[in-house]
Amino acid sequence: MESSLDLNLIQAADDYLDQEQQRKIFRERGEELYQVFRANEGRVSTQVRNLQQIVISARRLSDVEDFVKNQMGKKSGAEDWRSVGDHLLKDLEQIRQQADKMAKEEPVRLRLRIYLARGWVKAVVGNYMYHKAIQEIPHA
Amino acid sequence: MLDLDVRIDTELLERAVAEVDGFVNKHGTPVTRTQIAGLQQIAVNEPDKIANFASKQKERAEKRLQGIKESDPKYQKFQSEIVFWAMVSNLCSGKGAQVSWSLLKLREQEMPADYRLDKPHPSAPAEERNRFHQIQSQKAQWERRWNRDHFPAFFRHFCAHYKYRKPAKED
Repeated sequence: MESSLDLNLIQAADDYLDQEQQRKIFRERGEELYQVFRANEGRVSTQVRNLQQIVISARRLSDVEDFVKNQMGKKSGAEDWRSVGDHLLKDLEQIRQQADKMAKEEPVRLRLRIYLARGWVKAVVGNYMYHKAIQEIPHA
Repeated sequence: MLDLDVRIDTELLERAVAEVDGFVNKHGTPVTRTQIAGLQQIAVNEPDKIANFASKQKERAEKRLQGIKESDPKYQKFQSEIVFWAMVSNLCSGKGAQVSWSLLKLREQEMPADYRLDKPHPSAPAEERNRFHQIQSQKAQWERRWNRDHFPAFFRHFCAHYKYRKPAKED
């Protein structure tokens, strides 16, 4: 799906994801995910892995939004998702708005949303991994 | 497929979110998570039966309402539940000028002109009547496919947003 995006658009999307303002959000979100979900006996939290997996496999951004809402909307065990979910949804909304700004045609916007979301989750999970690693370094 | 993905990711999402927000802001979240799970299951497996499911849920709420005093907190809950299921029913199969949007209306708008045939008079030639039945069959197939493409997607957004809006402490 991404391969059919125009190269100039891919470059513009990468530049957007590389902006300091975005990188700050990714750092904050990665840390937040670590604070909320921690790690499973040294392994990446299942919840973080699920989020990453859904973004990678989704065809539409709304699949990701629905996933987050469903996790937040569970009767039990949703406290963690409720504490971080609104920030994730806000990030996804920002991605939607950015795609609208960058492209005029709806099919292109659809692909661009998913491209940006994959960049987002890659960076956020990268920052989660960083915080996980910091915690795992034995203190002298 | 791409057009459908675009529609699911924009128009159907916006509509589902707006419908849920409009309802929840006015009536709260009277329908349980279990009922919402049922609605979602029906939407995925039997999209043609959602309106029927909603109608039965509405009847159930109406029966429960009988004999309950207006001062009872459950009265308001069941009243709101009735409104909820009427809304779901309308979103599926609402017709007429008073319904601004429904999946049925959307489907009707998009139906290929070839399927809009008047029923031939019983005295019409057999060939004409056979052709009509053949087209009716194609039309029914087109409608089933349309429903399968649109109903589950719409209600996936609808149910996710409803659960998102429902307070954690409620069932």
